[in-house]
Amino acid sequence: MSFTVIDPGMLTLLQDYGRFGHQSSGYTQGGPMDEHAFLWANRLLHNPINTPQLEITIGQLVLEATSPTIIALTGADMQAKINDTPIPCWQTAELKTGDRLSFGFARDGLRTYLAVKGGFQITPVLDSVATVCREKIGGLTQAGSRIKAGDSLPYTSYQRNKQKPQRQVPAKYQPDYSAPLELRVIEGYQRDLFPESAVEQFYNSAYTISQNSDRMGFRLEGPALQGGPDGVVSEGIAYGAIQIPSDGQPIILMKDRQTIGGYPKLGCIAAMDAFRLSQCRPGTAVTFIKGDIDTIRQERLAMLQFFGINH
Amino acid sequence: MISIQPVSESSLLISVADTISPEASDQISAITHFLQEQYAELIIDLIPSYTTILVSYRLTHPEAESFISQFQTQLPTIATRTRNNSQTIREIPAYFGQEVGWDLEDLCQHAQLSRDEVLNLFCSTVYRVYAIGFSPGFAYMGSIPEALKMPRLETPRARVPKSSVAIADRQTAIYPDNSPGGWRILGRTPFSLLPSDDNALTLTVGEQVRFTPITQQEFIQLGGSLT
Repeated sequence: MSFTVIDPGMLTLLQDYGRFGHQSSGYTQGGPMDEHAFLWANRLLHNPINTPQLEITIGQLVLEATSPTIIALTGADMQAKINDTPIPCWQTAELKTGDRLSFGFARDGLRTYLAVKGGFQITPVLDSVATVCREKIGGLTQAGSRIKAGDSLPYTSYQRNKQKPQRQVPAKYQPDYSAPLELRVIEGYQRDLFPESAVEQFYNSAYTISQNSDRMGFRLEGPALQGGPDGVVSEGIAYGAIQIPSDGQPIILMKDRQTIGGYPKLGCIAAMDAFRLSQCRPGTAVTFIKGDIDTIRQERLAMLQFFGINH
Repeated sequence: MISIQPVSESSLLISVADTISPEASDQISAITHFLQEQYAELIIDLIPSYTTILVSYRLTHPEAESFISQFQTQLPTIATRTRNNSQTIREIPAYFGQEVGWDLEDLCQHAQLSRDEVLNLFCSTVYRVYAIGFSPGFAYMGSIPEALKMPRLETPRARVPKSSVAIADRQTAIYPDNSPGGWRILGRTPFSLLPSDDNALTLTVGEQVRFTPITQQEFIQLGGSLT
């Protein structure tokens, strides 16, 4: 009653909705880089929102089912197959004992979410299954290790009594990850510490996502934002914060960000835009636009209510 | 001047001062406890630091909109409260022998003091936890006496042993886990400060701490490791 990992691919991690309430001890939030895709995968299977899934980055994962189950795939289309049969992204699929589920490389986007009916049965640490390699916490071993060959990912087997059509995410909720991305900025109190001309340049330039981007932060390359302060007194860092280190190249802080830091910040991008950003590959160009906090808040609230999240 | 500023659609920053001081830290501590007690249902995470508290809150809570204005009116009175348990000092035993205090000798030379003088100074000072971060359980404490002030190593070590007591400039900290680090290592406590460990000693922002020197034998008896 598990998946046997034949090939872990480039990077595969167990993630639930995240680790909350422990940032005051220095533990990061963790959880899915792309909440939109993650939440849809659990919804397709009627799983509770916090149900652990696999976050597959770039691709090449191969699993074998040791008992029947139903899965859901969302996020980047990695041309998944059950044995030799291609299965579409953004919908459910049924697996029989011995079936082999394999992934190619993502065409558009970067991360795929694999949910299983009832979820993977994993012991949480500090209230969460979220894997944070740097903090050596969460995941299959509770010690922050990524999925590796030979791992056994336990689930409760599940079989439908009768044939039913597969459930699918409506087309309008399936994002086009190759579409240009404009990140909405909620400006913060440190914005005024930067010269007006630098801020103007920031809004009028395209920034390219660096190779050096990961679950902690997305590093951007473009015109340097100069003239800001060297640093501020270390303070808590919010999800989506736009940090400007001394080289002037912005870093967007993501799910595995450090909890405190002293780099000056221009503001924060909208959480929903950060989910979308997490699907962008290195080399992709993004732009920024000044956002309206009330509009962004209403949109986020609507998303949380849609998925029944009380966070 | 205390202020509340929005940071993102679901978080805000409370700022009590522009510069680090024990008074600012007292206010941070008082406000943090008030929020934990009064608004537990609304709050997802709190990150208290030197002069600020980052609050992330539940947008879906019915009081999400009214809480900020309500809290704003409560702030001035809360910030003046001093918490009773901020007066209690937590004693942390530490062993300062050569085999664990790798930089103690260098500090003596740098400060031009004897080993006993350095340890007397270091262990008679009460430190305050100003912030926790960098890695889980890593508590920034201050301030160490001016006479013991010493910069970080020019080249950080690849591995600082878990539970090492270390200093950098006027700050001190205990490494919660084996990790790379450039702080000067003075000794080691027999306890774990890694919150996910069983029986970990967990510090909170605003808490006061003093180190108590112990012998190698006591260190081992308390579960300390020399490796």
